[in-house]
Amino acid sequence: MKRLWLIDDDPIFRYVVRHLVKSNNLVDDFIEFENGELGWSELNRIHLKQRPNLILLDINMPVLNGWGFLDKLTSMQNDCLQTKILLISSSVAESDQIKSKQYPLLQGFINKPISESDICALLQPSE
Amino acid sequence: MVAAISQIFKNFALNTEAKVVFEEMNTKLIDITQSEYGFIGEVFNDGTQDFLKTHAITNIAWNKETRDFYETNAPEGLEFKNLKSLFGHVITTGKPVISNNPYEDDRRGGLPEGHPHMGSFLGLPILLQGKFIGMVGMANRPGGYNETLCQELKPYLSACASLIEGYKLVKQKAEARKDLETSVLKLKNQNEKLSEFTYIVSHDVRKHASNLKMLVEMHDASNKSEVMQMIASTTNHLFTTVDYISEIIEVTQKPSLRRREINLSELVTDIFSSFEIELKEFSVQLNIEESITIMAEPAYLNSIFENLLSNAIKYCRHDSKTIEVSAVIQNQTALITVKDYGRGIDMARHGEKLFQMFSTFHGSSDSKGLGLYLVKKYIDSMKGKISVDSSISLNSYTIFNIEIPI
Repeated sequence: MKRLWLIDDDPIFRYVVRHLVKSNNLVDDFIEFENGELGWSELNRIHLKQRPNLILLDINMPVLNGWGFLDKLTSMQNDCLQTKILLISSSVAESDQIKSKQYPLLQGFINKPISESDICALLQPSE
Repeated sequence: MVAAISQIFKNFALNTEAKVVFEEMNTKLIDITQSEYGFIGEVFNDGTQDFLKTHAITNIAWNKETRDFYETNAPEGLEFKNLKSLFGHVITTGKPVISNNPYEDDRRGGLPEGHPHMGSFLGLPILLQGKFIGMVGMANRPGGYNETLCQELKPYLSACASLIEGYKLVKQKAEARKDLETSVLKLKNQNEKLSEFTYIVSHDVRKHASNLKMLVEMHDASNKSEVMQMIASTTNHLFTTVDYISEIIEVTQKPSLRRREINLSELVTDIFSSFEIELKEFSVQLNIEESITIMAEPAYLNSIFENLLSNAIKYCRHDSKTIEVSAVIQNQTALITVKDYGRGIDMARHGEKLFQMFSTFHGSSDSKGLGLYLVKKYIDSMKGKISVDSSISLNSYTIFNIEIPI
């Protein structure tokens, strides 16, 4: 069961990713959140088995941004969080790249724009 | 006398307030001439006339009104504008005035009502390198003033001249510092505004450009109308420009903080490897001394060679696809040359504007003219130099000569 969560406040970015993911049938379940707070409360609410395989997490969001979400995740009792988390951003600031290394929960950093091939490569079973 | 004068200059050197030092000098003058009261003053011009402004003046206030006036105004200096008077005569003629019978003196201007008796008056000019800058005045020496006394006072007058000039310079320095502080504050504010602005560019503009790119790519590739193709192309240009701007911002805003020792040969080899596909039909020669290491921001050094290599590939000729990079050390400097045998640059026409923003020389629509500008900016930040030698003749070539201190 492949579940993808997208946590990003940019509606256009979400639109394109949603389209790419659905038209390529890349996942079974695709859920979007406008900010870290909404993503966080859902993660808290659901059963372990319902957790996503992959979270694409934006940095700059209102209410709770990417870093805040990661902080909360780190302090949560994690018992093998199987979810892979990738940080996405349209900013090329090296300071963000350096900061991302501070979070062992993060398995990577993706720069926007994301192409169709990028998304497919990310979600194909051959990972 | 020498002791007295040197004491006064000692105080000046110790940054004692001007007021205090001039008071000391005034008191000294009055003492040694056995006068009753006196002043030291500087001459200014208010646009219409010269006038006297005191640096020190004995308090001879004779009633409450004058006492209040003295207390309020004397510290800043009293101003005297009526030059038709004994002291005024010193100012208008630049010469000493001795008057031992002031009330009968033609040059007198009269004294305000209530003014203490003036039995005798001496006014002496203060000259700085021959220029009249002020005067001292005193009154009521028992027996009157004379020429001999004037001579004796010469060293004091000379000292007064130095003090006036000295404190003037101190004041100018303080004002200059204040101006500087104001400018620095202004600059700080502007920098903050600029930071805000650049943040908006690198985040928001880039975000929109990125979204456009993604939206355009969503459009069915096989069905792209002409207009759609042009939108796609324009979006790519927009995105590249925004990226360039972000790069420029990075270079100019942040001084290279992440410099480290980089092996030049390794760096160049890596870059050429990453261009493997584009370089398929090229003959590449790298002659870089293995020992050359440059202390630099890796991203900058990468950018320099990526830009130059891109250009060499882009502007090649069908019949000569050779790129040579060599580097040697000479006098603590790495001398690097990047040579290609492509179309060349018309140096006569474009030489001067080569490294300026938005200079392009080949009219090819996909060059935005920011590459060489950035290259130069990066080299500048490493305190290096870059120059170009190029020919557009039959055997055209372009050579970039770079010097980077090690």
